[in-house]
Amino acid sequence: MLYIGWRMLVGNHSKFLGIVVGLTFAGLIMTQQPGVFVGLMTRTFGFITDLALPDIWVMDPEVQFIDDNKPLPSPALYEVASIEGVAWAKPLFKGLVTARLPGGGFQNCNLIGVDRATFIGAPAVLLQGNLNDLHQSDSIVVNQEGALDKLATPPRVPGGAKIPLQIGQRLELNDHRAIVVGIAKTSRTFQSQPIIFTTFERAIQFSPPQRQTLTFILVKAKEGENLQTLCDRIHRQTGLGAYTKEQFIDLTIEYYLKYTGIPINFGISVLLGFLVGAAIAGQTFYNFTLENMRYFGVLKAMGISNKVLLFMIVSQALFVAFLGYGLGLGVTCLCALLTQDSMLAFRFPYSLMLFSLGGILVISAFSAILSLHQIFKLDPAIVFRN
Amino acid sequence: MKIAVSCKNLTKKFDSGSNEVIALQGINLEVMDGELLILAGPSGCGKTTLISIIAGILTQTSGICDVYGQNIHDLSPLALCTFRSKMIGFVFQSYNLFPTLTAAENVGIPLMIQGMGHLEATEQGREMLKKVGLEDRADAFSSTLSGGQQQRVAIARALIHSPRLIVCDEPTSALDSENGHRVMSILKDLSMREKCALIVVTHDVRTYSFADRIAKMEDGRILKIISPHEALE
Repeated sequence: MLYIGWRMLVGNHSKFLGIVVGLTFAGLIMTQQPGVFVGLMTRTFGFITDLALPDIWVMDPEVQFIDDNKPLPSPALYEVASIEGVAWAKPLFKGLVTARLPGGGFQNCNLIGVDRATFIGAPAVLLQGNLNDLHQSDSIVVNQEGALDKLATPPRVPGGAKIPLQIGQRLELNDHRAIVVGIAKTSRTFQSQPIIFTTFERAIQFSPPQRQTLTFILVKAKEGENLQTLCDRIHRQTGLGAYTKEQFIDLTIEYYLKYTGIPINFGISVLLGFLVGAAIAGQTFYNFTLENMRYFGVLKAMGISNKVLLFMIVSQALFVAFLGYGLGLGVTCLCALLTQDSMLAFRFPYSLMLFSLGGILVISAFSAILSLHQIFKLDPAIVFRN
Repeated sequence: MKIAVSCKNLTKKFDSGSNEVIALQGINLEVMDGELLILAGPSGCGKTTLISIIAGILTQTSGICDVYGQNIHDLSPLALCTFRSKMIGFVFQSYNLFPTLTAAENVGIPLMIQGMGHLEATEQGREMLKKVGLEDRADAFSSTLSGGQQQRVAIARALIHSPRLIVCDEPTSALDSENGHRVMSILKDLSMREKCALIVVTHDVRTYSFADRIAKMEDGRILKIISPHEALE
């Protein structure tokens, strides 16, 4: 009977296409839009994941997310370093600085100051140059996105390509001379501002004067030390906020979810996609059932039980669900492939795949239930009515 | 001769809003094994309601309907489905062939309902089509067949699972005289060969000559049961 159900479904080409297109559209919206959302959220904490070595981030207890700079008094570094269970503690400066470009323009940049002895906090991958060149006076390392775009020299001819920032070029950071000694690969940030890395001390020189300059303390726990216990100990002894990398990521995401309209906007987009997909696919599937009601009546008259009809309808619904979902997923992956080197934020974890599959199955189940309701109450005597 | 269908004091009432419509009242009828009985009468006299009850797809309000000794309306819904799938064949006025299936696949449906695989059922459907002279159209879709051909496919479908009772609703009304005659000949021949009872609802006087008996109905009652000879006179 599965065969008859399948032939009934695919035999009506236009209806079949309508159902599959509806589910493909719903699948696309439910994978692509959340994918962009997850991609954007990933950018909010990209700087945290870029720093692989530290286990714990120590900061002002009022800090709400990674870009929330609330400097600490300098002695806090030594206080944290002396706590039992801490293998090492290094300072990290994080602030904003205005760069004057070679072409005369201005650009706000993220300024990162790292420990000059260990370079902990510096980018892991340098595309050009050498990290040790940061020991040279006025030296800075710029991230690739910044060098190629916002810190690049404007095109010489209208409509021409920008000239990327090169090693050896000079920038003015807050009226201080800075020389580019490296181009680094970093995760793209949420605000997409260029990132400038230099030593902690030089970062303080570049940034506007302020009383306290220590933004974060990066901590490595001793081997075997429980990170949560160590965080609690640091907080108890210093009164500072201490979070594991995962906790700091969660804190940052929570801030963006709570204080920006991003989740609501994407949620509406996904919900609309779900509703439109459900409406198109559900109605087409339901219409398909109504149009075939006479034939379901014939099958019932011939002796098919409701149980077998349930099996037929559920099989039809599952077939179009998986086909539509597969096509939607395929289009999403194609989009992701075509835009992987662009500015578009896109991430597609397995959990998202399961989420969208669940959504499509809900739509299909809804359509199937509507159809089954009609079929179950169908009087087989309909077959003798002309 | 064995009794195939026995209806005793059969009544059917329909609720139509505030009105109650009596479709059948006090029907007493027996159809013998191997017999072709025609139910004749004006529209709305209850012919279709009667064969729907006999075929087990409609429940009577009162009375008893036995098919081959089984009071079918005592059966559970699932047992009734099984009973219909094995014991009863249907031929409809509008053929009711599945447009997305080939003729052979359409004929094989009753076997698929009984659990046979679609390849084997289709092959048997192909064999059955030979008996109605349509072996060359076995792979054609129903929309490409003429009315007469479609009805012959429907007859093949009604007979493929060797049912004991075949109910036909106006099988010739959509056909011309020649095709109507051919369809009735096939029905009569195959049912005699298969030794099954045949109940045909029809307005078509031309088909009376094929019947063993004709039950004349009016206003939900059987007025008289006569021979074809009497009916044609």
